[in-house]
Amino acid sequence: MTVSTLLTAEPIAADAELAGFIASARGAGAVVSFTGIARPQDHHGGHVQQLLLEHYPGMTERSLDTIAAATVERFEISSLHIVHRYGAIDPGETIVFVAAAATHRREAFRAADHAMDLLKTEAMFWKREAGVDGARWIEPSERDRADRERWDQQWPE
Amino acid sequence: MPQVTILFFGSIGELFGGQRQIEIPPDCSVGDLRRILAEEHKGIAAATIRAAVGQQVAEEDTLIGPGDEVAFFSPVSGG
Repeated sequence: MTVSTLLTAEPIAADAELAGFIASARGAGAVVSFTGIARPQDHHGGHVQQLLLEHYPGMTERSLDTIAAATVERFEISSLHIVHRYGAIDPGETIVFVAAAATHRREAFRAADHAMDLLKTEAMFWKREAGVDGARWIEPSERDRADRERWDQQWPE
Repeated sequence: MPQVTILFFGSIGELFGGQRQIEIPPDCSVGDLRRILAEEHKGIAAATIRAAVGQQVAEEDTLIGPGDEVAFFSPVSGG
């Protein structure tokens, strides 16, 4: 089992992250990855100039580790990699990259999905969109919370 | 009186600034500190504003010791 998390202020090259992950996941039959990208528009169609991700040094890293640990404990995967950006992010840049490797695809899909739902609702970040009309804070939506709660229910395996 | 550092994250940080040091009464809990700060801005009394003491998520009855780092933060969202 290989688990890695990284918090970085530097741009994330998702293609390089995926290539490195696949190379290190030798023996797995399935790799699923997710790349979250800063959108150029907010929910009202307004132009977003920049996304600002505030973090709490120390606690934010631990929240990523906690989410990774909860994911590897729940699913039969052989490796998991989470990279999360903080600071000022331009539209089109990668905010988050998650990859899971497993013997079979289903567990890899579910593990990546689970990690993302937890990242959306439990990772220690505070997000602000800056546009021409000023900046506004982004908090988890009802949809994000509903997605997170799916994992609290007993699912038929 | 013990002195503690308080950090604020998210929208609550706009009300209080990012960081401050204050003196707290002995045997001060997170709830007590929240009530002291609420005299300045009521927004911190909201149940959605969580707290951490020593970088561990805290409850209202968690006691704050001298030199502890306390944080109050708005709802989190990554990804």
